[in-house]
Formats: sequence, C-alpha cells, structure tokens
Amino acid sequence: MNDGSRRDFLKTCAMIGAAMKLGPFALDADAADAGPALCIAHYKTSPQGTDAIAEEARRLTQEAVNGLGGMSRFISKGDVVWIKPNIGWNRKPEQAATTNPDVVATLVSLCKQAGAKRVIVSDNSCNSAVASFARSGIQQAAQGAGAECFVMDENRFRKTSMNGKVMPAWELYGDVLGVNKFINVPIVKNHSLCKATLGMKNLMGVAGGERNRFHQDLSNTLVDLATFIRPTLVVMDAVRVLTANGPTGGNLADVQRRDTVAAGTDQVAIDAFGATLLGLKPHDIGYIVEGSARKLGTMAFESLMPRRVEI
Amino acid sequence: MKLCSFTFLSIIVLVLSTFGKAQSIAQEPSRQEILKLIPEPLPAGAVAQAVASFYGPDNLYQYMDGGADIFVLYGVRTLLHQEFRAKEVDVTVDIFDMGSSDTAFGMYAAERAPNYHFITIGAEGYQDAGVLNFLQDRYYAKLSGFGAGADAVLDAFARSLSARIGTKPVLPALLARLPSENRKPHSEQYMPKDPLGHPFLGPAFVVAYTSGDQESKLFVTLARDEADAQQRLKQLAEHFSKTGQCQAAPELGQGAIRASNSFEGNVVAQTKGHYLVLLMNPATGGERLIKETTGDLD
Repeated sequence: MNDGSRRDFLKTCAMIGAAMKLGPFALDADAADAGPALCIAHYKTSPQGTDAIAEEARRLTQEAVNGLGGMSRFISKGDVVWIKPNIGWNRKPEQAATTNPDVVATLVSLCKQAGAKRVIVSDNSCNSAVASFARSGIQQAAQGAGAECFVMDENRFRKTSMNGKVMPAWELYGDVLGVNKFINVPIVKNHSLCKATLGMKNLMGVAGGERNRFHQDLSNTLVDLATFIRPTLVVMDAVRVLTANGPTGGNLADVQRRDTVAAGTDQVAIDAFGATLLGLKPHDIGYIVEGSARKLGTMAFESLMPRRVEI
Repeated sequence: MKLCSFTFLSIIVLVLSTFGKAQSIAQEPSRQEILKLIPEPLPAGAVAQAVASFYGPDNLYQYMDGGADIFVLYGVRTLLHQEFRAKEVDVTVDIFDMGSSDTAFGMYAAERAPNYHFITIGAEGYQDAGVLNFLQDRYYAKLSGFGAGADAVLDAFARSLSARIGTKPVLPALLARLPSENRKPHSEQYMPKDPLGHPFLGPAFVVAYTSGDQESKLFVTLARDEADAQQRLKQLAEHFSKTGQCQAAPELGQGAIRASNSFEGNVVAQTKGHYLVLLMNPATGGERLIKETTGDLD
C-alpha cells in the first residue's frame, strides 16, 4: 500500500469510526459547540386566517433556527440535505396530523441559502402516500421552495446494521443514508399508544418493514433509531398541536394552537420540551426517559438554558 | 429420528397453515358483510376511486400505524377502507367491524369528547369540518371529506350507510338503565380490559356524574354470574385492604364496602346480580347514586 492509498484508507476508517460514534448526520464537535442547543420561538398572539398563520409559521421557523446561530451552522455549501417532516396522514394542515408545510418550505429555503446542493423532502407515509403528500400541502410547498419531494419507493429500503440495544438491524430508506445532513421536522401530537409523538417517533418515517414491531418496545426501538440517525438538527412544529386521537387525528376540535416552533441539537431535550406542550411531563414518555438514561440527550431541557424568542 | 423430526415439523406446518386459513376464512364473512354496507347507488353521484381495501387486526397498523393498537384492544375484526369522489369532493370511508355493539360503542366512545358537535345518526355520531364519525350496531364508521361541499356529501354518505346497516340505531341498553340525574353528557365509555388497571374488573361501562365542582365515576362491571360478581368484590376489597383501608358499608346494602387509598381515592362498591357497581370519588350523598343504580339492574 503506498502513502496515498494508506492515507485514503486511514481517512475512510476515521470517517466510519466517527460515523459509528456520532451517528450518520451528527454535528462535529466544533459545530456542536458553536451555539445554543435549543431555541424556542413563540408568537405572543394567535393570528387567524390561512395567510396570517402561514406567515407566522415562516417567521417562527426562521427565528428558531436563527436563535441557534443560523442555518449555516448546520448546512455547508454542497451539502445534500434530507428534510424529514411528518407526511404520514391524508390530512389538511389545519388538522395538525402532518407538519406545517410553511415550516417545511422555510427550512428548504434556509438550506438553499446556506449553500445546500440538493434538498430532499420525503417520508414513509402510513396513509396513501400520494394523497398524504398532496393534502398535507407539503409536496407543493417543498417543491415551490426548490426541494425534491417524492413518494418513497418501497424497493429502496435496505437492511441496515444499527447495533441497537434491541434492534441489531432494520430496513431503512437507502437514499437517506446517502445524504450528508438530516433535519428532523416533527409536529407535536398526542399518540394513543405512547402518549405523544415527537421527534424521535418521527424518525420512524425513514424505516420500512413491519413497523408495528417497533410498538412492541417503543422506548427502546425509538432510542435505537434515534441513536443511529442522530439528526443534524431537529425543528419541532408546534404552531398547531394535536391534543387527542393521535396520531391520525381528523377532528378540528382536537387541535389547539401553541404558536411555537423549537429548534435544537439535543433530540431528548427538544422532545422533553414538546411533551410539555401537550400538558405532559417528560418522564411520562418512555422513549424520552430511555433516551436520557442512555445519555443520548437530557430530559432537563431547561438546563440547556434555551434561547427564547418572543414575537 | 430424522424422519420423526420431519414428520413433526410437517404436522406443525400443516396445523399452522390450517389455522391461518381458518383465520382468513373467518375474516371472509366479515368482509362480505361489511362490503354490502357500501351504498348502491352511491350517494351524491359519487364514484369509487378504487376497489375497497380490507385490514384485520394483524395488519391494521399498515394503514393506521400506532393508531391501530387501540382498535385491536377493542377487538376490531375488519376494516373496510375505500376512496370515492363526488364532484369536487374526495371522500374516504372507513368502516370498522368491531365484532359486537358493546366494543363498537367502546371504540367510538374512546375517540369522542364531550365538546364535540353531536348529530342524530345511527346510535350516535359527531361532525366537524370534513369529518363525520358514527356508531351503529357493531360498526364504527369514520368518514372524511375534502373539497367544497364536503360536509353535505359526508352527511349523505353516512345516512346511506346507516340505512344499509339497518339494525340497532341505539346505544348499549345498559346505559339507559343508569341514573340520568347529574350525568355528564357523552361521558359514557366501555372498557373491555383492565378498568382502573385491574384485570378482574373488565369489562365495564363507565359514566361520569357531576355534583357541583366534583366529578365521580360510576363503573358497572359485567361479571359472568352472581358468584363471579361477588368474587370481584372480594378481590377489590382485598386490594384496598392491602393498599389503604376497606370496611363494610351495610347502610348501602348487604356486602357493600367503603374503601380508599392514596392513589385511587375513595370508592363505594356493591354487587347486584352479575354486576359489580363501583362509585369512584363519591360526592356527599353519592351513595344515593349507588342505590339508584343497583335498584335498576337485574
């Protein structure tokens, strides 16, 4: 082996080692320390009307990301970014079963401005994917902002070694593993099984196979997945939240406004914050407790001294 | 030895495949019956966008993800899912065969809230923008619509479905026999398993009653027979004796108890026939509620 190929070999080993330690998309140490771990942006009033709410969602998203130091802290020129909203259900935005499309579009724009070469928006829907992508408004909003937005191809899931506590391997979407940055964009919702679906639960959208098996031990399976994926950034949509009959929702009487978008790098902390928006305590949610126990992050989100932006 | 192992395995495979086939066959009548509920002709000039899809307890998660578990808990047999289009309106029809009118009520009630807009359809229903859900017989129908005029189309679909179901446009008969005074509207529930976390109390109907600012919960558990009801009362008394305190309450009736602990609060309980009746967090004078309840039960 000559010096050049030896250097390449060692570099590859280091990258694999780093990825295995940090997860595929985690920030490097410099970026992780370059700003706050959590920013919570909140509107003091609840605007009414479709256009006003759309503007609110855009502004909250910008302020939340800016509060962390801006998208350039996370995205560099030439990056290929996967944005993973909740597009699971054939629902309109106001039914709060899917991520607010204006939050998604704003993130696409911010990534583009930061120099991303490609931005992909997709999810493994539970309801009809074609209907869910359209009715949620996310497909139109994401494509309008310059993203590639497509329904996942069921043939492109591949068995991936995760070395999890309970999940040694699982079928994950192959294209996700080929990008270099991953932004998780959940919406805060009640969940009939695990009380709340937040960021770590939202990661199930990159998984295929018999996903009901996750539910046999959600606390451990979700933390295994979150430990493997380790998003670059989590942006939590709480403009509207679903307070009952989640995850499917449907009834507007179950939707409440929280007029909030949070952004952060600690998956456990941002989920702990999200739980409080549903009137829950972080330790009520099994996967938050497990994530904290495994030191994936901290349940005590206030200890991170979150930046708060009131608009 | 190898031949024995092969034979044994073959038998196992045969039994499993037969069982699987039996399960599939058992689902077939349910599918045939539920398919007949789709109106002909379709209301509002609707056209089916595809043939109906069916889901059972084993694969309902493919359609509903984590939302499936509660339906399985309530004993869902089959879901019929079909999409339609009526002029500018996209309609999704989901009809759940819950196996019995009690479990259908239980599932319907688990998803409703007292502040919903209730409508008179089937045994009961509620409607919101683009959503109409109703209960009738062993079926729980969930309809959603998108587009201008969706609510009127959903109403037409729902009434056609209700007419096709035909039978039992009433809530469970037991609920009508429970006291109506101070009853919290639309608070009734049915718990097939583990009411209050106690397996021996299932299944049970639950109703909330208010007295001023205080809310009490009345549980009527359905035992197999009188002996089973008394056994349940005995188990309840043992539980409270271990975790708090329990004493006889002869003023309520023979065998009645009054109990409390730090995490479940106060309870009075009594059997009547094959029912065990509990009143959690009884208000002052709440014993009257127990007496009225047991007075109307067989």
